[in-house]
Amino acid sequence: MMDMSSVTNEMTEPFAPPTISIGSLVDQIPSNAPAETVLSLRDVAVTFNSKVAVRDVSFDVAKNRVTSMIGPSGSGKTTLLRAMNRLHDLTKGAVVSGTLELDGEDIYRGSIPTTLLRSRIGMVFQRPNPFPTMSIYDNVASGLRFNGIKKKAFLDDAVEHALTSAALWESVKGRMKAAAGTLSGGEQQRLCIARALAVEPEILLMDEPTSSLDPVSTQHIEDLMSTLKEIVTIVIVTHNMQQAARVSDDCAFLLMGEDRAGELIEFASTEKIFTNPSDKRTLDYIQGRFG
Amino acid sequence: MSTDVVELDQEVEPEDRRAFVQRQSREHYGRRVFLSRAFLSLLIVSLLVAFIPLFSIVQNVIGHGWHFLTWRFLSTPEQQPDIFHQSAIGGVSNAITGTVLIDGVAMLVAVPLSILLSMALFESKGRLMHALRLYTEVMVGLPSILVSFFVFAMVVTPFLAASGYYFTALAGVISLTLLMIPLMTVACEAALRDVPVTYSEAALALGARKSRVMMRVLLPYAFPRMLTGIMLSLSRAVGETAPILFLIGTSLVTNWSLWSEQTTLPTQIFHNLDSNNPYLRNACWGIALILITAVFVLNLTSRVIVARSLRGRK
Repeated sequence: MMDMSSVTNEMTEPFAPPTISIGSLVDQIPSNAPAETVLSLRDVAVTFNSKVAVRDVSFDVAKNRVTSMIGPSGSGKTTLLRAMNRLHDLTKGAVVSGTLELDGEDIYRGSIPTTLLRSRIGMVFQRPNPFPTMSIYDNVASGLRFNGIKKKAFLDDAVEHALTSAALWESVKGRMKAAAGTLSGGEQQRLCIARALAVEPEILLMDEPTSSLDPVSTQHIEDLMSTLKEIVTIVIVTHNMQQAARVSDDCAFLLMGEDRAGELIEFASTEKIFTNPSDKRTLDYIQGRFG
Repeated sequence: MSTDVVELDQEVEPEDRRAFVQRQSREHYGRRVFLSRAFLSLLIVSLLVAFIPLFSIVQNVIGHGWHFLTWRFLSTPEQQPDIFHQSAIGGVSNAITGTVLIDGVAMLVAVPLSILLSMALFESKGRLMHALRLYTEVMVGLPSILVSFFVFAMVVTPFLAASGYYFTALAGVISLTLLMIPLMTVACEAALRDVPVTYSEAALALGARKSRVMMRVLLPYAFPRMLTGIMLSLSRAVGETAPILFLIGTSLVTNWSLWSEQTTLPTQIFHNLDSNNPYLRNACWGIALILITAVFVLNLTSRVIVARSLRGRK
């Protein structure tokens, strides 16, 4: 990890290695410069069989930044994340309303086919889920193969590049044919990140990517995110407020309303959310009064 | 209700409660030991009731059948003994080829069809397909003699018999295929359902189309369980008599034609038992041993393949 952290410092100079205190960290968060919007949400709501799971969500995901979504269980963070690459399409009775625009094009009513959309918006899941029937190499190459790319030379190069980006290349380059299940939990999650990166997505959605990992593996993945945002916009759902404070530039706070539907309470720069939130409920949550 | 609880709270001090629970536990201890021993005895009795006959089948079949396992018995076709040479009964090569032919062809048709069918049922969401899935499950319990009757009435009588083919291996193949399809389809669909949804989500999130997810992710993961189901269905079909008995006739010569009459191992057992020649009846032990061995080998092979393909999976 030595070389990894030096890379981190080079690429995002204001970002010192993560420390525990939120206050000291917040001072180092870069000022909220105007950034290009890559994904915009307007009045997004998700209902399952006409029961509202999350609603009234409007915010912009800025390019090459990390946007976190925080909030207690049931506030609709994961539901919202899955709406961003149309994974709810698989669920019977799920309806996404409102507008989600990727580079100005409506992803639900526009002309982007769902499968092509999903290759532009990748996803890393809560539990590492490398394909157990495939080798390490085949896992990373799988997304490209799904998208019809067969050229061996290109695949080899893309696999190495993706694994390098996920800080896994050095430890697996000698055993590319080994089953993915032989890796440790943290390595498996980085393999999943590499698998998602290989398709060269514009946005990477991460659904509590470290919740099933030990602290060291968690640290690796957090370190990784600060370098990854140079090449891909990241949206991360996390239960862990310190993690949101450490890794994200912008932050959305969601809360479950009285009718058990999640809603967006506040969206701002992470610095503002953690130092000077506009809403009292946000303040209560980040100060640990509930949730 | 609530007043009762309050009264109890007031009457019994925590120390007394512990004493009460411990005294009760001591008093019930003997009865609990007795009950658990009685239950254990019940389990042992049920084991004996089930396994004494099950073991005795195999023991008798091996004991009476092993001396039939000669190359001569396996490689010569059956003979009808005449009255002066009652022991000249020949062998079983005609029944072995008949079994391999009929079950082999039926499997070649049923396996791909069932796998495709299971994929369709797995992917489908509509009410019609839901009904079809239920129907397939019900057809698993279809009495095999009904399949035989159906093939006789709907295939043999109007088509085959009309062209002069009364008893054919083909009719047996159709019958066994019909019997195997629901069994295999249900097993394969269950195997597909067994794949954790997170893997198909991962593939979809990479931009895979559903057909790719099926072929590259679901099918490889489900393969071992599918194979188990297919092998179980096959070993059931190999041993079936009723669906083919009245369709395939008998053949005393070894041949590989779907249009001719055939004998399979189970039908030969049936015909031999029906005979009044003691040598033919006794040869049933030998045929039974071959049949049991075949079914064991099929099952063991599939288990080995399954264990191999599960290796390295977490």
